[in-house]
Amino acid sequence: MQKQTKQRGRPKGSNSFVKLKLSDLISIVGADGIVPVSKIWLRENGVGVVESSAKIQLAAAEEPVAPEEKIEFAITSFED
Amino acid sequence: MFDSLIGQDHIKKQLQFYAESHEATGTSPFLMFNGAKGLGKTEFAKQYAKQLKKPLLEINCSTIKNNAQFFEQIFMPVIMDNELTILFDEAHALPKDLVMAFLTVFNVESAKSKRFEWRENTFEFNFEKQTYIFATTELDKLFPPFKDRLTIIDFKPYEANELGSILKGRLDWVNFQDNIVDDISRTLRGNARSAVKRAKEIEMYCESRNTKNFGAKQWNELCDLVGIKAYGLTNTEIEILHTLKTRGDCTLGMLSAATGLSRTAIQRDAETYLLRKALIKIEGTRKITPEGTKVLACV
Repeated sequence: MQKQTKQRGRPKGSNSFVKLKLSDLISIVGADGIVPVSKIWLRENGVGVVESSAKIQLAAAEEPVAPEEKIEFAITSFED
Repeated sequence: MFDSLIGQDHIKKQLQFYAESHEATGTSPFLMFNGAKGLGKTEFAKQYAKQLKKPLLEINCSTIKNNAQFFEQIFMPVIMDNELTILFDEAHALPKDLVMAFLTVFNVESAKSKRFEWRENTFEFNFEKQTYIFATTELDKLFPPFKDRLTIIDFKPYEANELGSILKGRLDWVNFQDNIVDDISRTLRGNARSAVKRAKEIEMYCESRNTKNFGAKQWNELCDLVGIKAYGLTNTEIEILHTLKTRGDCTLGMLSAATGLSRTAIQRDAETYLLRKALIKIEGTRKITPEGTKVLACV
């Protein structure tokens, strides 16, 4: 008879996160408090993550912007 | 009305007719000026715009990369709602997506405007306010259905007497002697822009020598100074003549090997003018003609 193995991992339907108002969070950790957030969430909100060995720094994501090529044109007006 | 321009009489007549009908109908056909460099396409567009009493907007199509760039940088800020004559120069370089857009825009029979929908925006092309002209040196590179929507106007090379008139018109203070204008015109390769450039060189010569007289002696000196050859030949063309003279008849491949030029460069840039002037002929192989030999002896 096979022995039933103990199930591992997160049970189906459970969630590790809860929703919290930012004002409530500030009241817990303070305005300068450090809160861990997911890198994926940051990226989705347009913030790039720069990792260094010492600490994690946040930098606003900047798309590499190619210099916009200008269309060459000239206008000639005629006197009456 | 095109009196200030010399030559291209068939085009003057045609544009005159369109300008008059524009006064009556408020619209003009979509024109395509076709011809080699220096035949006056831009100058004729300028005079036509002047006739229509609309400023001329000249756009270099090789700097347009896509629809977004065109509509954002040019159409919305400069063209829309304004009275303009628009010249799309080097039209063979239009990006493909803009050509596709123009297929829709210029597919009109008698409508005086066309609404073009693109990326949830509507752009109104008002043909009473805007007159569209395209110009190209390479008509064969244009998408055929796009060409079908345009009225093609062919520019032809200038006659020697017309080039002489252009030259003299710019140098009315110079006293030309020894029928030298005919000799000068023969070096201009049927090209009006070359006539303008040559006039500038003669002006520089006369001013630097402090003279108003320009005859054979002065012309020979100027040719020597700035490297003007018989028939206005380029060094590449002279090299081809020289190769044919020394090696005898050559295939295109042999000519390419001897000159170090690609076959395409020889066919596109050098042979055409030599053939037009009957300095060479092609009969299976390339041959120098007696006239070519004579010219080669002079240079």
